[in-house]
Amino acid sequence: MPIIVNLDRILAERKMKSKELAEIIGITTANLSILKSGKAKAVRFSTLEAICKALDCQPADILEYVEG
Amino acid sequence: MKKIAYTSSKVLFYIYSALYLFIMIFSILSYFEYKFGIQIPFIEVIENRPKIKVPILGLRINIPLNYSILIMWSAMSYYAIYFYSFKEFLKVFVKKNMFETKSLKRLQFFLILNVIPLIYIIILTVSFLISGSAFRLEDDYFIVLAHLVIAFLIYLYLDVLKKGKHIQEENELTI
Repeated sequence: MPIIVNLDRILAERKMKSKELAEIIGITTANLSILKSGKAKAVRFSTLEAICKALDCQPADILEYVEG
Repeated sequence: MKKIAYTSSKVLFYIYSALYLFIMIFSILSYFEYKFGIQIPFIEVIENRPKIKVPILGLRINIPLNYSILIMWSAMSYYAIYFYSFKEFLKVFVKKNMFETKSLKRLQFFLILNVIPLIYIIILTVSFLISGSAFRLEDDYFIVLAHLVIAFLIYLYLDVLKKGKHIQEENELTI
């Protein structure tokens, strides 16, 4: 999939664990793992908003388009 | 309504299974009454032809003591599996989450079961042609036609279920 999810990088930069983020944004760690691995088919705006709020970043920091 | 249909299919399956077991056991025992004259309840031999009297239902079933009994047993076994599969088919619609691989497999199995009689009718038609006897449009042809109509409807259900499963999977992968 040409959309890359850079959550791991942002989490490392913020020194936050996946479990913590999952708790803050209110999704399961399994779903967060699906999102991080790029297996997710779609991301809700509400989820994206919660992630941006929790990590203090922009959607473009998390999602990246790579031509492939 | 769905639960009533499922419960009815369950009752039908258990009644048929009881009848199936009864006929299977007593058709074997009828051989002993026929051959050795041992008196066995529910069996009577009239003019060298054993008959099973089915209690409650009041049925009298002729037991052929030749290769025909194999056809009778296989037909009865087929319908025992068929009614079980029918029960499982209706169970799919009662379940909360019907778009599952298990449900698809159940429907696929029921679809195959409804296509199997086609093989029987082909053999029957070929036997007519080989023996050179006049072709007769027997009841069997209509039963097979009914099975094929059911098979077609299940095929459509299967397609709906496959599409539903795909949508559900996509929905589950929406975070």
